[in-house]
Amino acid sequence: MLFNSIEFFLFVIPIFLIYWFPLSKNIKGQNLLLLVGSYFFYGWWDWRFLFLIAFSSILDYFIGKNLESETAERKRKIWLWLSVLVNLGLLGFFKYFNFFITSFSEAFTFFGYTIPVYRLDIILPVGISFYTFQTMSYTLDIYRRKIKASHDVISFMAFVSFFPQLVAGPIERASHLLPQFNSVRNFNYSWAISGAKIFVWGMFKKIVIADNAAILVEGIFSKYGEQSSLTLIMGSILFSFQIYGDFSGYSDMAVGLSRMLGFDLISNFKFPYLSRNISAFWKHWHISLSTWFRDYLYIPLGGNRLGKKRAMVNIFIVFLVSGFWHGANWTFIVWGMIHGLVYLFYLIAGEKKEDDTLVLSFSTLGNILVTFSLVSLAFIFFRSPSIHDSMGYLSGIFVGKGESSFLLGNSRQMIMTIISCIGILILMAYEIASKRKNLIEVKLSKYDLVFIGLCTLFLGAFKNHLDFVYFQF
Amino acid sequence: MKKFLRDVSLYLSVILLIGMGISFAASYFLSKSQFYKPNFIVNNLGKNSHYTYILAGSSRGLTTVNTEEVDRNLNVKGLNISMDDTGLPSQFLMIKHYFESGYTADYCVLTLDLSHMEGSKNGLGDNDYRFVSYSDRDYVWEYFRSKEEGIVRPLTLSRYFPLFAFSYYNMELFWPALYSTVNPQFKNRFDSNGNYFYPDQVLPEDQEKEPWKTVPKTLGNPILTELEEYLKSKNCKLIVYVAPYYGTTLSITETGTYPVINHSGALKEAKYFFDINHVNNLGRNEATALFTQSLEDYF
Repeated sequence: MLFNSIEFFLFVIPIFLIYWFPLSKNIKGQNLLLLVGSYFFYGWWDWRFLFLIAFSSILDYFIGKNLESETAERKRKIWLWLSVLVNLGLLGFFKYFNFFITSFSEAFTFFGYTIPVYRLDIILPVGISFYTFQTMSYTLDIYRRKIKASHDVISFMAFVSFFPQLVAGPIERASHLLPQFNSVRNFNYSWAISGAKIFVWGMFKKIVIADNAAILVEGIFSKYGEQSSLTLIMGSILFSFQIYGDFSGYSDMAVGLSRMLGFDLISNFKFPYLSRNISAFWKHWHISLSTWFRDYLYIPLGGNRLGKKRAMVNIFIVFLVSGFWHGANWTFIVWGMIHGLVYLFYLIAGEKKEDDTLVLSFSTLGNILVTFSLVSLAFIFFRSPSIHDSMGYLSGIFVGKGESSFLLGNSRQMIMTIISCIGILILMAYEIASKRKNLIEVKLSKYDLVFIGLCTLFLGAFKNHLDFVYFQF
Repeated sequence: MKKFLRDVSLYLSVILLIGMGISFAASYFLSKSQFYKPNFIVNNLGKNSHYTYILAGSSRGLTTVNTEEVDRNLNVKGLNISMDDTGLPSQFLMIKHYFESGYTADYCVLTLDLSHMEGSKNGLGDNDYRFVSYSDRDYVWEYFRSKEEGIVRPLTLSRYFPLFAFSYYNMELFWPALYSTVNPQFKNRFDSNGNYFYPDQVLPEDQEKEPWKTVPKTLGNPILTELEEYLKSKNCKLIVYVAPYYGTTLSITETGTYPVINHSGALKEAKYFFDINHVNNLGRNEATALFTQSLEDYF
């Protein structure tokens, strides 16, 4: 059930009305409604996924209670490891089993041995990487005595499965989101209106930019060998906007829906394509994952406390793991490596403290374009099905002999290119204006709202109703 | 809370109202254009036009026969009403559209595709949205209503709310409507006789090497009987035409009373084909010559 589908609106409107009318003063009833609604929402993909999320939630609920009550450090460590191993075990089995078994076999083939590969026919549960990280942060924070364990199983399960952000984040921390399930939520008009506006903005990004660009990107990436260099460059730029429109669009819709239900989720994106260097980019791109890795991987590895060299190794590890988190494919690992290397190069060259306000100048524009170009080139690995294809695509850009242009292939593709470019221009115009005002999200006036609504109606790729890219992660 | 619901409803209504206004305007400009074949039929032909024959079909009907050449050789008047990416149900709708627009014809030559000889799947065709300007006509609306599926049915609703169709099919309807405001005479991939042809590209080598096969087929599609009855009521005779395929000769068992011109295996050389289903310009000349000879017997 996609946020931009009729089915979703038929699902969410009754939830919203019941939530704010008969249950407005009943916090337990609201939580139960959110839990039932979230499980219905998740089960819409495949009802078998429900067993997994229920198991993961109940296990962490009980481990959390034991971690809180237990005083012996050794036992507490056992409980923590049990939580980490089970959560990562489930993630590893469903997401990485086939990758490891295939890579293992390929390694043997490299040394002249052939071993048979037994791949499992496993369906990857939607959003498993997101909710696994969310529940892990819960047990890790209780272990560190940063938060108290939940003693209300309904509110805890509703926290894990909260439908606005269940399948593609933002990855919330228990310290931020869980208390909101336990406190009274009063309807706040301004908060709900800001939610409705950000929801519309997210829908625009998804339907107008991501879904239109997706068709062009697919056409270019699937036949990259035939395309001209310029088309390949355009393909990588369009993919950068497709993935941004898709993922940040989803995040905006999740934030918007949550606000309409009285919740506050963290912002996952803050105009990342206006970043002036790679460090700034990672402070503004998929913020909930970056900060998760910072708090639960980078800092436990020693962070920058053990000297600059060790800090650089730690940073590189974080980027590698972050790449692998995205998917069981070498392409994602290489994508992470590229970002890691560029980040380290930036650190070595001398990190600059920067004001977050955007002042338009030639040097700023130049820095933004260089950062965007690097990000777009790295995204070629993210989008390609294999390293071989990524390299082929890159060599096509620099020494390619292809002559055709998918973007101008026929009148339909030309119109789609024009629509995508119009969408991107609107997006960037709003983002530049917002960043110059030092805002953290686009704030739509009533005229903007009508304009964006109409743009979505007449520029949206409704026929190309695609899943969100990050659902697969 | 009530204020929130009121404001959301207000903004939604404003967006929908402006959207409706834009859609009505777009619908108007499209209906006055010749962009798509259904508009071309209504806006390009003179009142009560009569043709000796009309040629209906999919892209194979659109690109195989040059009606201009046939007309010159047989001294007749023909019109190609074929539309690409259509199945037999959409082709029947196009034939109805022609007659219900007030025109007449002595013969209707239906270019029948292999996939529609024995039956057709129920459901909307890929290019049926091109009839949207005529959703106020009962036969078009009835067609949309019976074929369209899903919770929201944009084409069926377009009779009263064109916004749904112009939003859902924005690339296919809204943009052409916009273009039609500046160039209402533009025809989307067909000429003033309704014809279109593929360039002189030759069949790819891997497809060329495939062995020829003979496929037995029965013309059992119930739509054919329905079409024949409909044409009878319009004093028009049905002729079924099977255009050349590369690599396939159809052995057809006829079940109806209508004549069949079977040229499925008539062109053997790859140089005549754009792909296995469509002739190129060279093949079109050959196929038109063969078609003219066959058609002469019926006139």
